[in-house]
Amino acid sequence: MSSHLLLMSLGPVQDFIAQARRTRDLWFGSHVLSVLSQKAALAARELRAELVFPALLDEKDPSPSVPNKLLVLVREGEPRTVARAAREAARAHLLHWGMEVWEKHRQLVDDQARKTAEEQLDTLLEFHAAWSAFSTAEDYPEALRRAEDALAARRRLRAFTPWAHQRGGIHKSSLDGARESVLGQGERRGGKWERFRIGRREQLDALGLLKRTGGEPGQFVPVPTIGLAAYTALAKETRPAELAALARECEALGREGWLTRVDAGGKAWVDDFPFDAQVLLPGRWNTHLKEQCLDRERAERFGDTFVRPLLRALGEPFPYVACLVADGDRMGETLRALAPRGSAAHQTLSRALSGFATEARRILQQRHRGVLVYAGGDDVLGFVCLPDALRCAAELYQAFASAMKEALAGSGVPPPTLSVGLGVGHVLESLGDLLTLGRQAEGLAKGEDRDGFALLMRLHSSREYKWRARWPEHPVEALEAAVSLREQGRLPLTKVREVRTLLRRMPSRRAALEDEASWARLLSNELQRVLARVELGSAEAGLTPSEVGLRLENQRTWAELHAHVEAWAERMSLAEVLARAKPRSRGATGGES
Amino acid sequence: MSMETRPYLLHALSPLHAGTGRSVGIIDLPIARLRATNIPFIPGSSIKGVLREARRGLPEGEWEALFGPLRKVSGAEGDEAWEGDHAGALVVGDARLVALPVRSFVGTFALVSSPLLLELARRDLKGLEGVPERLKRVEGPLARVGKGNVTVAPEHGKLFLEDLDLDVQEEPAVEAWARFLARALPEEEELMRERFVVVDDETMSFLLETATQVDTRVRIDSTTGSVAEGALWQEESLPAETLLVGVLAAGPSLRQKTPLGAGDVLNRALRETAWLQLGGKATVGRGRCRMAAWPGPSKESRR
Amino acid sequence: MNTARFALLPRDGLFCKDGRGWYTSDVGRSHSYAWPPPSTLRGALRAVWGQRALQVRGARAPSAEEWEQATQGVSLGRMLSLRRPLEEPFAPRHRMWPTPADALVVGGRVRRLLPRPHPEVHTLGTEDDDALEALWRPMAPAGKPKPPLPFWTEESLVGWLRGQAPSSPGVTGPERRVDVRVTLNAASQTAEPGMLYQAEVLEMLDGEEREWALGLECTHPGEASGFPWGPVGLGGKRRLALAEPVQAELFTAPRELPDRSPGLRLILATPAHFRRGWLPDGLEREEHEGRPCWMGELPGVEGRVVLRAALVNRPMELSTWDMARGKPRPTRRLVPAGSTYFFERVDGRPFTALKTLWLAAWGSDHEEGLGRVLPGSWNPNEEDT
Repeated sequence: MSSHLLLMSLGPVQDFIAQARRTRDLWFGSHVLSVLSQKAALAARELRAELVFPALLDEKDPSPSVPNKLLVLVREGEPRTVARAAREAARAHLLHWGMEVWEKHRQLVDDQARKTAEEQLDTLLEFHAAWSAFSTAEDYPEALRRAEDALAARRRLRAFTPWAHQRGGIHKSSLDGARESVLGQGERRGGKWERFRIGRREQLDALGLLKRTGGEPGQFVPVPTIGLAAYTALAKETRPAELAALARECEALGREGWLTRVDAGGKAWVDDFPFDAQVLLPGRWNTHLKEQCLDRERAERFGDTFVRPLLRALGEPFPYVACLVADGDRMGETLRALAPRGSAAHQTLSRALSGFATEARRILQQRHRGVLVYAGGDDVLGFVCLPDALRCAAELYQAFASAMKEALAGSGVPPPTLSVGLGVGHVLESLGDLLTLGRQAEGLAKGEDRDGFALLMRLHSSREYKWRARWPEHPVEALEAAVSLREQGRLPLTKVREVRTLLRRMPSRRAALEDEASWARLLSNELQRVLARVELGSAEAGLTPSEVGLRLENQRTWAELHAHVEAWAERMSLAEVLARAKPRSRGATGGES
Repeated sequence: MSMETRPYLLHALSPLHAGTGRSVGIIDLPIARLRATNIPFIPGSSIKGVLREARRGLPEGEWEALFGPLRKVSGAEGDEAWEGDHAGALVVGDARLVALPVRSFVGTFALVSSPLLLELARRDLKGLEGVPERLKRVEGPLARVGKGNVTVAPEHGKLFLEDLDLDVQEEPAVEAWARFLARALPEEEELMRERFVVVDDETMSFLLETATQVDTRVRIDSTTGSVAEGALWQEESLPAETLLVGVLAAGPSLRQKTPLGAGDVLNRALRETAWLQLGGKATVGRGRCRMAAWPGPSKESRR
Repeated sequence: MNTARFALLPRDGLFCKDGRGWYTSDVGRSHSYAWPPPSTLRGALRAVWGQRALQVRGARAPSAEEWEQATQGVSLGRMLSLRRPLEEPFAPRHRMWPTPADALVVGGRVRRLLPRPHPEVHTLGTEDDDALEALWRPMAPAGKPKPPLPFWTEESLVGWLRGQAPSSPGVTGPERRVDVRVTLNAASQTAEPGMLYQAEVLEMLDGEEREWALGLECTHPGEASGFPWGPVGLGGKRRLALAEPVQAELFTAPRELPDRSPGLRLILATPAHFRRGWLPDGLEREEHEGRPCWMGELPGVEGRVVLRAALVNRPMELSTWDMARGKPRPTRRLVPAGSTYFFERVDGRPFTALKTLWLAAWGSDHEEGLGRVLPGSWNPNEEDT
């Protein structure tokens, strides 16, 4: 009797997660998807399907995350029945969950919108499945290939039906712009409106409502709190009295309902300042507290009395945060290469990936000041404060490498690598935009040849900087060296600018040059001259290209040399931002030029 | 009644930076540029805000008809429609660079433009009398000048801009352009005529990147009197004498009891040269500019 | 009825806000459509017409009904995306098309997705639907596909309709810029703390001195010539779009279009609104060759047809604003532009008049420019090799 290999995918993933205004929308949206995948997998197991991907399933705790693509073996029975049961389990769970929240928060919703809400919940899930029969272990790889091809082809038709239960004349959700708002009309003051931080002009559909109110307020760490974690840590170390006074006042405001205390949830670093740290940003404590309807004088008094003393001692915080996105390279190839060794080999790999996901959480949240949003298989998404971001990326890379090496030992299959992107944006940027930055950074990290690291920053001046290198080139060390050059004040920013200007005065990278060698000589001589020149009044000696990380001699063509120098300038600008992101007490020397 | 447009000239009297304000975490404050072409521009919304202030002298009703009533509360809270609320009849388009002052070895500075910049301006100026012809694109590097340009080095017959040396060709259309632009600011006619230069587009794109003004700025901490930590940045601006072209558009007034046709709205907005202060406070002597229109018949209201 | 043909050239870029509104983050942030939906353009043209019509009548504040009545005759016909070098007058070679869903870029080459029956491997979707699962599926060539570029040139598209893969993977759309604005306090002339607005702007001028524009055919009641008479306020914050008259030839079918084909491939040039969502109007569930299927008649197509395959991405959710009532309209779920449908005739005969389907209208809401199709050839027996 033949078995079937059944492949299932649940969606939407990226779009659904990115539809987030508050931090909690993001965390909870990702949590919802993970739970739905878990419910689908459990339903399949219920019908005696054997789980291959993911191989392990914790019935109680779907964290870190259950991937949205499931591979199971159906040894007896109808694969269609299994697939259908998985789909319905996920769909029913979402509808039930959403309506539970609805009932719990009747104060927030419009009773007339019940049908609309039910339709929104019932139609979110996108489910696709494909299955293929096989009888012997030798057939397993071919069956997997057929199922994968069929699933990919099937997903090219995203069937949908029109909305049937809209009321019309209603604003659309601020999160997705498509679904009608289900919030009640009229005055929004006090109570749950404030507890769940539903803004005055904000609109939420049933899914948005679930994201916003599904968890407990305070269960999620606001992005500004992550971005400013190094700052609050320094405050705790050097100005404990001032920070404690501020925290006491926040606590008091919290008791009156103006601020929500953040639950650290095992992340020790959060306890340094367990509140939304945007109250530390000049110009924001006012706006933020006013949004919570605190009167202006009191908001200003709060800032003057409790925040300003810290700012005087430590300077203003650097309000940027890194969105980290990592993804295993060529995982599809690895799976196919492993297929001839059967489903057991796949299960071993799957368990290793689950282990890595747990490790990823530890690296982000315990080893560094960050929060993991999602870690399903080889996919990692999280936020981390800028001063910790580089090391965090490097540790993730290492953890992935060793997990894969162990799982694939003796199989003859080369272990896959991990590409990691860091997208840096302002802490008040919309979460969807921060995610986009992270994903762009990941795309840049992957490049054509994978195994890469990339750092991409979008500053509020609308300037963008980006730099990419492959892991074997030690990108983190290279950036750290650049940061320390800037911190020691040895490389003035004006020189970086001079180098950029110099490049613009040279033929372009794509220019067809007859005398490449002489142009290359000219450029490197000029660079040496710019670096060696000593600034007036400086006791320092000049610098050489290799001291600043320029490897001019390794570049074979004009295009390579040009690209190398350009990337160097970009790296130096990024290093400057990283240097400034490190909080310092007053009196410590900065890297100003 | 549909919308009417009228072009305006913006002349920088001090360095211009219409940016995003300053905040911590800024390393450099670039000027606003079109992303694909790098052409500097000043957003119409910034200009509209300062023009509104400059036209405070209009009768209250007309002022509101032009610019719309002021919102009583800023931010999301103020974003509610209220009785008597209406849109302003005036739409202010972005001002785009048409000529950039560039240091010249001879004659201190030249006002440099390019076929692309002039072509974009020509579209805005369409409908005015005597708009010069399109200037053909040429292979560079080359500078085209009118007769009697004071920035051409006489003994070399060349133009030395920043550190570029450019071959020079005389072309009557260049002078025509200078004269035409100067019709909006007659007192500057001589300056424009003597210094107007049209370089090829590639040379222009190099100048767009290298010939803007970049100043290193610091913020002084008011409590310590020293440079605030992390508060050092490079601010880019368009140098004084920069010329930009934009358009104003208007429909009829939407304000009850203040009937104004589109032409009336434009006449009031551009009645006389407006002195504007762009980009916040004038304490550092920046952002002074004037806005002027071309005189004479343009496409007036057609019914 | 009169037909005006013109190109709209957004002077300061395009900013067509989607349904999310301004308040999508702690600081103001709006999101724009990747390319303006035809309905937005019709809305802008109705506004121009309505203002003029009511002005002439001297009515100051029209009622919702008056507005509706005065402007409902203004409808959008064929709509084109255009890109030209600055100095050239618009011509068919400047037309840009949405990337067809049956194209895939793998290993640097554009590959054709060719649907075939695959009875041996079964599938299941979000809903139980045996006719849908019985549709043919394309087999993708091996290798990781690159995300598609949004636009194709006229040349690429015409070849594609004939069954030839282009050498270019397509054209990136207009450059996007995020403008950051501060709110100035009028009294102090300083930035309001914490108040930032960000808006996404599509730039119409690219780095190669080519500009993007929209080509429109607009019918309107009355004799008024020269419509739209001047610039049009388009998208959020009433950005100016200049109008330039164009020739009727700009909208006509290319000569090289195939006319006969054993199968028919229809690619959506603009989003389409169908009664049942992704499934084109005019088809009903029946049996064919012993399997469930969708069969029926299509506007302008010879004979009864059977739907063989459909390549459709997620719906485009269109949320428009009812100007007259000052309220949002219900959301419509549209089949996105580029979606591709494959048909055969039930009687097995070839299609012989493909050319007549050039930019024909399909589905509902034609007056908003929705549902325009591009006819392509298809050989149902061809397989990817």
